[in-house]
Amino acid sequence: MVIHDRSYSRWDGDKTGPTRAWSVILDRGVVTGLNSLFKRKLFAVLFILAAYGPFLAVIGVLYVNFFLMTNPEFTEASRQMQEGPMLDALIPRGKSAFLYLFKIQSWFALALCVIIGAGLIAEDRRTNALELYLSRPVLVFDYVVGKLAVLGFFIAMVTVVPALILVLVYMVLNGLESEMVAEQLRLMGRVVLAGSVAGLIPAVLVLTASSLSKRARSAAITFVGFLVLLEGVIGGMLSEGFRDDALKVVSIHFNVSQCVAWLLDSASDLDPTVPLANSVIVLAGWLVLCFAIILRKVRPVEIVA
Amino acid sequence: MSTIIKLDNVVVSYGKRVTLHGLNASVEGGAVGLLGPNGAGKSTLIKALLGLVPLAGGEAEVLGRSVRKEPKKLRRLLGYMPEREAAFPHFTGFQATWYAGRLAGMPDADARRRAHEVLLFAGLEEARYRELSTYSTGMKQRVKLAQALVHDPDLLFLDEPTNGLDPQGRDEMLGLIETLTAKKGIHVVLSSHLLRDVEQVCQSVVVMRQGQIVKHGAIEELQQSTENACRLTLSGDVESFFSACSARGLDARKGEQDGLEVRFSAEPDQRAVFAAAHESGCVVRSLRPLRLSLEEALLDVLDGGVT
Repeated sequence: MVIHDRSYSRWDGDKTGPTRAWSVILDRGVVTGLNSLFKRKLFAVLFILAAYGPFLAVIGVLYVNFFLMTNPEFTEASRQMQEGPMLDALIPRGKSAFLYLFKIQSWFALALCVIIGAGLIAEDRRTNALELYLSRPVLVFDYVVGKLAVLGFFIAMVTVVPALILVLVYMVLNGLESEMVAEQLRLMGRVVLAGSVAGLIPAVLVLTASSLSKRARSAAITFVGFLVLLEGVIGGMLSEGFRDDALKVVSIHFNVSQCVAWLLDSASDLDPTVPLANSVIVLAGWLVLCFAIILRKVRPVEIVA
Repeated sequence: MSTIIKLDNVVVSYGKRVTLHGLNASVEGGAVGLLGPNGAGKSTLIKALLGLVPLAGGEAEVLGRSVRKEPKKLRRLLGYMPEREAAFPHFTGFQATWYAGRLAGMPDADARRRAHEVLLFAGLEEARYRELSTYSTGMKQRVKLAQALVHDPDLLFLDEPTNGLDPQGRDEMLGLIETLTAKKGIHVVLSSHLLRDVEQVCQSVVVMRQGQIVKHGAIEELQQSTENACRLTLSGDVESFFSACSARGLDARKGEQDGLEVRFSAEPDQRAVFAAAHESGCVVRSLRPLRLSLEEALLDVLDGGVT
């Protein structure tokens, strides 16, 4: 008969190697996020279908175009489609199409910020888990990067990943010629960069709201309230009051669109009334402010001076 | 026993308020009790040693590593059980313990195996797959201990580990801590306002008051250092003995049970006790130095100020 030792035993593993705590936080955060998303299964399925809908539609158009082009009896229809406005707006050879898609997808990214991002730090503050994290070999940097990566993962799943799939589909349907492949690979790089900027800004904003609160719900309200106040109320008052297009620089959404258009090399989508540098400075300012707030709130001990 | 904690003029402040005022101490390994009234700075000292609050001045070393320079490496060797309720949200007991191991740098498979082992050790075998929010106070304390132990620390900081436990739970928790320190070679720093807990588990103490260390050393040393009396039993006329003692400037009185206690105003002088007994026609049956309880010794030290 086996006798199990129920007492404590020492662990002889390595205690000197790298810890990579941020990846542990990312790993677990993704699982927890998926659990919270799939708590209401019907909602999750509808959300995914809606989020991937625009991309599925574009893939459908691409396939139809490919089908018409490769069948001689549909030559005329294919020519009409090529010359029509719909294909221009949708197929990825036009970089504006990605900007357009990112704009649509930003609503889903915002929804994910609310559903998953709002509780990321707030819940840890509510349950005093920060003390548990930071008493282990986890730096504040590891913690914040880990939480940001969790949100980045979900936002990328509705923005960058489908956009990349779209580029791949386009490449496959149009043949893998080296020149075209090189061009599409460059486009992929631009899509990743543009998607990262489009995702980073709302992710940092919602993490800031989360760090200011001890409840996911109040963090979500703070985040949405801030956006409504800045984009709707303040932005609206300024544009109505001064009638000056340069004041669009107040809007985070506008500045993100400017940066995304520039990163996608889509000059026609850049608004000439606001210099790109101004948009970059404003966004950088928001990022600095948000990280300063996050670092002030993510502490193992609350200091009341 | 080697030195586990070395404090060199350690200062900690929260904003403008200084909470630890230039602490100096060299603490030997084993089980160390951290004693002192509320607000003495016990929890702050633990947090400073873990690097959770920055040092405003001085240097601190734990297990030979600088708290200021190597906090991340150091924390791999330390376990911490916080005083207040703390839990990773929405996790089961097993997930929380496994996650604590992963955060400490353990490989996934090892963290899983260890999580099961330490939960078994902490007595949470049955409840390990239940969400933490459904745990009782005692179970929450146990899971905090399991999380602190999962990566097998060399030094364990326990901040009020018996808080909120019923007498049986308290005994079990102290039993677990005793096992760790006495049989498994893990150093323990136990902060508690319950002297019985410290007396049961620890060999040495650090006594704090108002952000300063007023005494540190072995418990026996602490009790002896405040000893200025003896306990005796004698046969004969007790009242005559009291009179003879009084004439010699000794304070004699009835003590616990059938014994007598004689307190010395200056240095202990047992020959004076024998002389008083001889003069009053009494025979001393037994005489031994009066050993103060830890509580009496602590009160004595706290009254005496910084040493």
